[in-house]
Amino acid sequence: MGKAIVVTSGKGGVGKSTSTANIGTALAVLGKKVVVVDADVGLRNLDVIMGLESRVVYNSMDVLEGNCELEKALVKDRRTKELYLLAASQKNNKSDIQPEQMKKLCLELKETHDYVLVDSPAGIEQGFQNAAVGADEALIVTTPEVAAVRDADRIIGLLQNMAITDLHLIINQLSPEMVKTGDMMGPTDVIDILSINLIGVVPKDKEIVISTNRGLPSTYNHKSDAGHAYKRIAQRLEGEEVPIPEFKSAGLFGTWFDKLFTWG
Amino acid sequence: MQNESRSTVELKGFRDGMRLIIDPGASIEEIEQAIVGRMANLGDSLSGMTMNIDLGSRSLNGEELVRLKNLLNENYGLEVKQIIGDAQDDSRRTEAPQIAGVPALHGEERVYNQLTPMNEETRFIRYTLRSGQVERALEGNMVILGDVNPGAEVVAAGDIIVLGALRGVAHAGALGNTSSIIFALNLLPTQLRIGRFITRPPAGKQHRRQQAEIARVLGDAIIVEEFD
Repeated sequence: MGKAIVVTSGKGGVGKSTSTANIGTALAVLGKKVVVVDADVGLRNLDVIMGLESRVVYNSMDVLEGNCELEKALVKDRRTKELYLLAASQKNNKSDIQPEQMKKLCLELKETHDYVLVDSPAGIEQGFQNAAVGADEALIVTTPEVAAVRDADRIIGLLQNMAITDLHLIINQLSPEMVKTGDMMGPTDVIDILSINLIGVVPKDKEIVISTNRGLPSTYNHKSDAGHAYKRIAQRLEGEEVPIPEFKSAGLFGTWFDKLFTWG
Repeated sequence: MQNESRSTVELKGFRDGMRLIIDPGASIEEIEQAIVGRMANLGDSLSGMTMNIDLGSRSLNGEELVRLKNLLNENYGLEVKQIIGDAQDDSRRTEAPQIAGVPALHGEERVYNQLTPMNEETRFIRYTLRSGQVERALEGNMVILGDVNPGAEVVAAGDIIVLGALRGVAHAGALGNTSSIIFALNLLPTQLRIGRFITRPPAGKQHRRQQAEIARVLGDAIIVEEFD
């Protein structure tokens, strides 16, 4: 029996789908059997980021409506062993799927996979509820911006209400230079407010734009800093102790210094 | 403003809930006007709560009571639970005001004179309040063993003590008690309210202070001082 992890943020555009694709790929590279599930019904794009768009035949809606077997709807990623995608329906709405159906789907996927990564849509409405309902753990993605942190905080409250208490924080699109000059919140500033476990800091990286457009996750790119950060997150999910690089902050948000974070 | 509201309607917290205490000499129009004035700065923070109306020595007829009940219910989401009034003699008692479904209390059942008004009960919250979460303690004080994050709100009839960082909105003395205080180990609020007073931190003062601070009303403004 594997575990289901919802990747969520509240705010849009902070990198949920990119994180899902990269962490999913990195876990599969580590030898795990992984399925990434797009829960953004009506606005699907995890297939695009994974570069599997042209190979999607069935989606989760087809499975729930009984049009096809679950196994048949899983798109196999040919670049990595044991990496699968379950796409979302593009022509349905988020309210067409009920939480109980998603819960059952996650359970079924957990039986045959080590990791079920569910890519949540932005927002706190039914789409988010559907994505989170079957999850054992959550990866909260935020950027070091006040608005994104505020939304992440709201999401954490909602997840805790749903009895999902195993929460890990990913700080995405961090610019170490801006943190150094005090123009951007550093990891401590973010953790100070959210007070949950930090599992990784992903630096801002131009490679991500290129890789998402090409449908080739950065994890495959050995020159991408973000790709390496995602690989480290996958290792930490697997229970390895990998230190998080140091990011110092000063100026606007204070004169104290970030400590070296070690997770685990 | 405070004197004005005290003379016509007053909102107080008691053990059995909130009471709207009405000045015996005021007309129904004056009462309604005073309620609107009193509720104006509370926003919808009382929505969904129940309250009692204390008529004191006056009497209102059924129609007038229904007007008050509807005003409180439709505009502020408040449900009237009981009508409390003095009825010293039996003749008053028989004509004591009634609203269908709302029981009337009489002289001997009036209890509030013996009670210590407000600041009696204290509610403990043992977790961090996150964005979107609101906690209220309209019977007394509130103590939070955690942070109050931006976007979260705490409302209390009495004092608010945050044993953590207060980054959201806090409203102490929400029923009008301007002697209430707000205390936080780390006071970085979005906004502070005590009674009818509102303040926000000066712009640009973003740096964090690891010093406990206390906010209270002095004269006509909320002041913040270091706590030692």
